[in-house]
Amino acid sequence: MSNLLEIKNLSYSRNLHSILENFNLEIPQGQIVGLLGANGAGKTTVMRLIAGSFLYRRGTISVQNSQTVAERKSKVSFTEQASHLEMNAPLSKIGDFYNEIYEDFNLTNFKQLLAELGLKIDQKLNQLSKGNYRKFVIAVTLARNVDLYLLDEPFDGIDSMSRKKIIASIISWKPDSATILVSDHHVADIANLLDSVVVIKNKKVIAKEAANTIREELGQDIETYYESYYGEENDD
Amino acid sequence: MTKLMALTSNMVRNKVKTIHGLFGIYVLVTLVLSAYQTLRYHVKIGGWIEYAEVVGAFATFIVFLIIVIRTEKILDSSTYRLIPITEGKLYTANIVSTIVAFLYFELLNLIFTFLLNPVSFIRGLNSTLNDTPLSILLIMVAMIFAMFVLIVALVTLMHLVNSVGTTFLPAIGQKITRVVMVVLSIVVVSYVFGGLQYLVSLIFTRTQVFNSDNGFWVATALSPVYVLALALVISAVNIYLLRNWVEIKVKAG
Repeated sequence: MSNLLEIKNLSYSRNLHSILENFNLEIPQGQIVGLLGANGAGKTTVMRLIAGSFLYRRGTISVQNSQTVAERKSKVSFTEQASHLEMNAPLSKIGDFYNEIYEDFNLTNFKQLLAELGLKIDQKLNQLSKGNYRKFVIAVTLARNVDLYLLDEPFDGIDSMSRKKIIASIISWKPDSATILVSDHHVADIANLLDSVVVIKNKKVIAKEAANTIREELGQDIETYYESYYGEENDD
Repeated sequence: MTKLMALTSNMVRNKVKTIHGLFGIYVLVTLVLSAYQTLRYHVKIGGWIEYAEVVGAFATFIVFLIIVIRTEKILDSSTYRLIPITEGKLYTANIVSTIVAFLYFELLNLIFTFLLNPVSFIRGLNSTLNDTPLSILLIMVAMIFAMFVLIVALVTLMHLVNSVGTTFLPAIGQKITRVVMVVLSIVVVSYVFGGLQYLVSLIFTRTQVFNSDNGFWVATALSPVYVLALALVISAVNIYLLRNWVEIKVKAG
């Protein structure tokens, strides 16, 4: 299977504080991959670097052999792309905005996703609860037809019913050839969704394993596997 | 990949929406103020144009501030920075839409003033055209346009330099370093404005720098070009900063 995402020798610092050092990661096409790590381990930073919202000086990131940052952005749909919207805009207007700006945005899919997640198209963004806002973000992200979806803590602060709805949407709306990289530090939330897991610690990838291997060969569930690397350090 | 035209027209529409709101407030304030003056001091309705001009000058300043703030917010917003388009095109769409929105406000302002008192408006226009040669008027318009572009580019430069500082300077003592950077930016901007003021004074007061009328006209006609060229150079620096140094603004939490 060919690699969709290749990160080689990536180092990144912010405010003179090193966050990633010689970070290497390869992810094949068509998988749902869990990016696991404690708070502050660098999960969101990795996603921002892949999406092109953070800039790196050392190393390389390639999505489907993309040559430029703009090209890479066209292959990636990131949940943060919906984080600076006008809060008093109705969801229909936001859908129109994405439909006009992104050539790969499917307005019909967006409307169907909203309906599936129990959201109304005429609701305003500032009327949404935290859980519904997360659902809206998922709908915007999945309504683009791209190679790589980056879902940063999609279940953060939402109830179990909403979580189930979001997981169902992710599974049913994911194109076969697309890859999803999903981060979370509440591993149990996403364990059943994953084809493989990547554990980040000490600014690096310290483990990468297929979910089947963890379950069948190692005889562990994903949460136990993750905790074997973090153990009691992870107090979340 | 997103097309430049699609992004530009989207940004124009969003900024024009803001302009409509602000213009509505401006019209309302002018009408209420004028009506009050008419009821209280028996000012003729034909005189309302003067209140429109005063409120309009203030409104222009407010519109400029709000549109520039919106322009700046786009440059480090993840919603816009994640759009698959080059930084040069994003910057171009942003600045072009700002110019179009501001010109649109000025057009609405002119129409409103005209409607308040067409006779007085045309008389004033005729008087300006009679007192000032058309060529000078055109140069003035070009100069105002060039200065507008330059000011927006300079504000962006200050914003981006500050943004780079936020990302790359150490977190400890960042407030102090940011204050130093803002002060430095103000010094640089003041220096540039000093030069601009001198240039404008050359055009409009005809100081004795030029030996012949011919020399004066060439220099006068070229001055907006110099200002625009400076704006382009600053824009090139802005695009470089966007491409290589400026990251998205991260929301706390």
